[in-house]
Amino acid sequence: MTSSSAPNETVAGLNVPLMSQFVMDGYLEFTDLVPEDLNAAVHEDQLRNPEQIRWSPSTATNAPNAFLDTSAPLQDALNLPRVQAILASLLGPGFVLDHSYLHVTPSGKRDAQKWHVDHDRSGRHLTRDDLFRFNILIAYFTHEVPAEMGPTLVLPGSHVRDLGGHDLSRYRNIVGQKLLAGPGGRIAFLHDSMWHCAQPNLTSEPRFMFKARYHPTVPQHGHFDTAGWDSPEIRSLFREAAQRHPWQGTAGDQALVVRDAWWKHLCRLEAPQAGASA
Amino acid sequence: MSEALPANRYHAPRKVLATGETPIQLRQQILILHAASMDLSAGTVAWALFDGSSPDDRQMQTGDADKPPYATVLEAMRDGWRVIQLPPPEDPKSGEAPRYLGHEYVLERMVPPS
Repeated sequence: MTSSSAPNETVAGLNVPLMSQFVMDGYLEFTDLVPEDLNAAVHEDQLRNPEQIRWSPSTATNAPNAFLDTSAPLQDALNLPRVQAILASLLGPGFVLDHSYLHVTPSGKRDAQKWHVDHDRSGRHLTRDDLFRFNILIAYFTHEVPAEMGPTLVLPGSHVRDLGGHDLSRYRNIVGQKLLAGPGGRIAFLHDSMWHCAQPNLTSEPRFMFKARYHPTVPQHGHFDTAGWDSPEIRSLFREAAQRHPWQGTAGDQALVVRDAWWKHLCRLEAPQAGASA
Repeated sequence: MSEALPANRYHAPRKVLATGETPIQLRQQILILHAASMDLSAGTVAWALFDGSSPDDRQMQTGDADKPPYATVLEAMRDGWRVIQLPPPEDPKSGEAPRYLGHEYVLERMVPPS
């Protein structure tokens, strides 16, 4: 989905249709946040910058924010009011940047990354510790990324699974997996428990993806426009959520209960007793 | 003239070879199918192939297919795959988030090296 196609979006931040979609799928993708000229300037910086400030699993000297610190256009893009408003809707006021990297998939790289959840979820249990506390990863694609160029692969709905790190590395293909392919200038906002992996780049150009992780500093509820949170449409959406991601199988009912509790928390309501549903 | 190979459970296959015949060393392929439910005829929702007959650069990768090789475990069995693991029943606790992919069937077959 994109923000441009979503009805009733408030300029200030997220509304119920968008936030409920985030709760369902674990991510939101926008194509219209960054002006074209500013986006082009960020891409030029990506092409100009040397290898050592890019992120690489084989480079011991990865420096968080090395690219962000050197790119004024990128700083401007992240500070755009709508970008900040979306982050504030998800994280609350006072959110902080944890780290960022410029990820590059070189031309001709044929190996796909394994499914994973980023490291700092490892060893933590979602339900017990932090179901309602989540970080946001942004994935900013400055240029068009077709399927053959290695867009990030995500699994919608996986953010309500209680797994971390590389517990998923034996998995290969899953019904409903989605390539974040599309035009340049896109920013995706991902729940940090979302399963994802980089894909091969079979083109002759490098693929850039700027990633940043943001942390909340306040409890995450009530930071978006909650008008209509209990509308018939929303009730229907949550009621049918068990069938939304067929890969969940019979665990879809379990995920549904978790999402119901989370939604009520996000809308400043009490979480239901275990086993109840919206 | 032929002779039986000594029985050795670690050497497969055991067969009677003709004089001068080179034994075929079979390799294992493991196919993991996740079904939507306990039923072996339930739809496949995730799959992974680990092919002992092929080198690293010809293994299945993440995201390289959108359609499972078999619609069900039963269909794979009909194609010659042997089920070597039946998943135990799942007992989710209400209110807790699910964890790993469920209903994990492990299948194998033995094939010549590619």
